[in-house]
Amino acid sequence: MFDWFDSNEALIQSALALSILGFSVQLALRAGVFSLAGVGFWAIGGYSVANLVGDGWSTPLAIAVTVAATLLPALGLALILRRLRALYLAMATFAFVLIVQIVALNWDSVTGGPVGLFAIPVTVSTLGLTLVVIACAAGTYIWERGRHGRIMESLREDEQLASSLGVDVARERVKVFVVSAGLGTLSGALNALMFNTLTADQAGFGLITTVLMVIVLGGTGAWWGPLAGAFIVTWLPEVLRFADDYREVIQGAIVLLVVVYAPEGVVGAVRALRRLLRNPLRKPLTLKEAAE
Amino acid sequence: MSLLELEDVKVWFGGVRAVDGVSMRLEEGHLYGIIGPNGSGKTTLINAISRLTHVTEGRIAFRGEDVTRAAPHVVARMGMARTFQSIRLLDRLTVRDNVLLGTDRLAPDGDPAAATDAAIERLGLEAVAKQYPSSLAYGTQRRVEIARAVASGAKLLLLDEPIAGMSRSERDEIAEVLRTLRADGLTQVLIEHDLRMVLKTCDFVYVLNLGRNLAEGLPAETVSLPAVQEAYLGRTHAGA
Repeated sequence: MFDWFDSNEALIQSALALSILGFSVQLALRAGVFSLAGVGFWAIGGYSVANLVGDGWSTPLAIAVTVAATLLPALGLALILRRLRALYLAMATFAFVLIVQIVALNWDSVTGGPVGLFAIPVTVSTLGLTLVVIACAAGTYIWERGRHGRIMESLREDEQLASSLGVDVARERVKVFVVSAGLGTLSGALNALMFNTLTADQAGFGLITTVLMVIVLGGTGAWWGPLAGAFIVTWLPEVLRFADDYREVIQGAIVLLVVVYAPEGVVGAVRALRRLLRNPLRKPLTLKEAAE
Repeated sequence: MSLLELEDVKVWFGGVRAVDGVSMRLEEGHLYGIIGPNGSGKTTLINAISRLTHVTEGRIAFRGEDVTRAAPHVVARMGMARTFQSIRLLDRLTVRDNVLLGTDRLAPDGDPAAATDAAIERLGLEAVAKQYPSSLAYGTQRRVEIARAVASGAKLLLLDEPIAGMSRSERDEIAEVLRTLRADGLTQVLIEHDLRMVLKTCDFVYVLNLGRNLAEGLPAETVSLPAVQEAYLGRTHAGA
């Protein structure tokens, strides 16, 4: 067991760090906010804590200040983009990620320019990261089971219905955007302090693709979706090592099959199975039948 | 002060005058019917009242406040709840959670769980409270929608064809529920094609035709007016 942990610790760390970014994007998507801005804030969080810890700040303080400081720009961005929906919002936030990446490539004194930052102090342990992931998962669990979960569901499924139920749609969408950005910042900060290097090309289209795979494979329907997705996405290349050059082709085929046959990912598949077991005939229940 | 007042309300979509000068005055504790042939502007009017559609001209006042330009969530929080012509439930939530959604705007001192349970009991949904809407029959889904609106503790309930797709016995049960809600003092507006339902439940009806007020009054008298008969059945020609 310990041997297995030792030989897989780097993968576990990667999956855990990725799952926090997964929580960031999942939260937004669950409220119908197709924002990829979390990836941009991931980079901002990473560069910020790398510099602060490098200047002698304590890790918790550096992370807390970084996350708090990004909430204001996140609010500004949310207000600027508040009228955008679906693909238009995705494209606008993708542009934001590209802008962050270009700034990172050119702001040598803070980001190390195209070379990036190396020898960032490794001050986050696997245990510390695990505790943060547990906190994020617990927060999402509590959030989704209460009033906010229902409101998010209504925002995603039917904004008109939500507003007729008294939900201030514009305000709730801004709130979700800001929290999602905060989680993205947290994810980037922990990632930088765990893997000791950070380059601008890490925070681009590749990371967007990876986190979307986490969401597609894990599913958006429950708190454990990003966790399942992050571990699958991290482990899949290892499991498919035998396929050599065809590894990425098989990986792509798996994603395609999931999108077609299990569009709500692992979460959706488990739920569908549970419903099937509860009502095997899948016949609509009348009140009389349900009462019997 | 009336609960809801409409003064010469117009809703135009470009050149289409869906509602073209409707006025109404609704007092508390009554069950009102809005009837009219297809395309007479009933649903557009309800959308305008609940602020889901813009008002081109005119004035809407709810509980004494001008809400003509208010956002939908504002009038909802003031105590207006509605159901929709097509069922709008959330499939990932159980029946109970769907009904709870209606209580999420209750005042902080309200008791969402108690309001939800009471609405579920009132609509006879106890047996399916833990089911998901997609597993329920159409008529039962309609009940869930009504329960969600009832649970909100609204002062005014707008019901857009709530019994569409229900069997005769289910319709009678819903009619009974609406009557008991009225007895509790809840003001309701019922848009309905089924005149039998309107005659059985409503205290007062407004008849719309081509987006305008055609007639209003007590249900039995109003539906028998020649103008109303003509709007529903078409003009009768002597000797035809």
